[in-house]
Amino acid sequence: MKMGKNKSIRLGNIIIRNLPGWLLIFPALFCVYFLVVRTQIMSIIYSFSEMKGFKVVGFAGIDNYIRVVKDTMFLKLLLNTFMYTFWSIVIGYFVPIVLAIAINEMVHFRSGFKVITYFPAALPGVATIMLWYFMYYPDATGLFNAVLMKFGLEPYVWLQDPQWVIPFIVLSMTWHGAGATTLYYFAALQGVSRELYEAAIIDGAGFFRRIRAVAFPHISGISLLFLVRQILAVFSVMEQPLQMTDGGPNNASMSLGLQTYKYAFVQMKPQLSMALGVIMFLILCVVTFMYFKLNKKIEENNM
Amino acid sequence: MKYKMDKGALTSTDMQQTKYKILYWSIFTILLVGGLLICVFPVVWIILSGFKDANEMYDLSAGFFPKKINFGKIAEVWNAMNFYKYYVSTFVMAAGDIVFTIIVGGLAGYVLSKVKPIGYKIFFAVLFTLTLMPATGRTVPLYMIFKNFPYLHINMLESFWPMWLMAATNIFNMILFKNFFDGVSNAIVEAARIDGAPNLKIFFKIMVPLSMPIFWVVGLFTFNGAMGEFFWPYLLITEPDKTVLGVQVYKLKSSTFSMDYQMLALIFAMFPQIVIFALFQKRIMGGINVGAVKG
Repeated sequence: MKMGKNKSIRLGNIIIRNLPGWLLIFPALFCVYFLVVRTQIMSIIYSFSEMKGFKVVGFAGIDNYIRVVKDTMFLKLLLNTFMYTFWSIVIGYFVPIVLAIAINEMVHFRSGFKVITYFPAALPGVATIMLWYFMYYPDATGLFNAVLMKFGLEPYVWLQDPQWVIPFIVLSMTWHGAGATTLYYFAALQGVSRELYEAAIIDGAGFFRRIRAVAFPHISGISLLFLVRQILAVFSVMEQPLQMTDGGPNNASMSLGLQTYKYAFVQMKPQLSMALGVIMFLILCVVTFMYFKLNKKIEENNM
Repeated sequence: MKYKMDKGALTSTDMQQTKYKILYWSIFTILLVGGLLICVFPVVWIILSGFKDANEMYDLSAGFFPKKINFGKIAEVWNAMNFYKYYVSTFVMAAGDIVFTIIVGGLAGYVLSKVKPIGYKIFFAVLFTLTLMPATGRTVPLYMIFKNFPYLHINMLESFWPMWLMAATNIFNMILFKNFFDGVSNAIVEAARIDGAPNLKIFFKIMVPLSMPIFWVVGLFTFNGAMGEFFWPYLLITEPDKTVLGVQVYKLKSSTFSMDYQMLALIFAMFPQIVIFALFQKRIMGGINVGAVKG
């Protein structure tokens, strides 16, 4: 009896001591649970359900998944999505690294360069998309066509060319996104110690050799992190194609992410949207998993 | 001329050699010309194009600068498109976003860093894992929550509440706050606690004043995010009186306004952020370092 009373007093003490902290963190816990954890679980449950509008009316087994994969568009969209990711790496991945290394070398006007590079990132996302939409405009009012025609060339259709529309969209995304990433790399490069470069100089390394032997290993950790973040973000790209082309011409710029939107809010079949979302989720989990494997290797190498 | 090289791979001794001087100034020129041309020129172009009239736009011999810059046209576009309305609703949404992420995220960061009740480690581990998880497929369940919030049965469509709640859920900001607060001395907090100050008082009277840089950074980034916020307002809000800038700018594409009007309207979408960037450029770019070094 006495023991039990002591225990409950101790429990009471623990609650009283921790209650203020729990209360203050409750709003965050509430939001994270309902908006992130619960939605993630629900999307998996709903993807196995039969739905009418946004109401669950029954269990569907893997029917939704079969319908999504058998959709005539599925393979094309998967390929498109890989193309977005591929082009974003080709066009966008190395730009911030090169820029950061170059700016890091400068002793004149360095903060000016940082401001100029960051400027596009300071503009609102939609506005930059619209800006590029006008630059790509297919008649003489577009900036690129105006330049072409100044040189006496024919105007080009830009975003209406199904073959190149994806790299064009990626280019506009890079314009908006590269500045912030550059500053992250720059901050990392500022942490390279002088002695490492001096050691390389004693070994007779020229400028490019020093960059390769000293600067690259120093940023390998964050460059892998940025690679993974970029893949995660671009693989689920939805807003930019929606704003620029709405997936056109003839679905040439449709991505899986945009398809999840169309399934849910245009075709009103949210269960298919979530089934596709889960498929994308699994693909991206593989990427995240590979990141942890690779990161471990890098950390071991740097030891 | 002496060069004082600092953090780069080039040293002051290198710079006495001509080949490195050439290298240095080539990089300098490419950065300057390329940077201005690629990063700044498009914005200048769209503003100048907006001042041209329709005929001038299609006239190839017209040149880069419009014949005359009529500032009255800015007012014309502003009135024709009712931009006043969109500014008001966007500022309301942005203010709410900032308040929610600072109060909810800031308090979470404070608890994780300084109060540490039982179980905080699990919560932090969950938060950290969530930042690495892909977010595909959450759109529909989120929409369903906003339409009919579980247990409470509240319909949040046509309001800014969904955006505010999502701002409150910004896990990245919670971790940013926590990391910054870790740098504030525990002794000050302990002393206040011994004096009997409640947690909320410690947060507002001690943590906030001591951590102004992080509040500035989160506030500025949240504001910038709100000014360009598109998808959720686009999906959830149809009332014209609550339409925000990001959505309206997108809608220009399918509007009946002439090209020059549409282009000039982009000024309104960019103007608040250009001003904010000009005023707080150091804080914004320094904020990136806060995230880079500690996050």
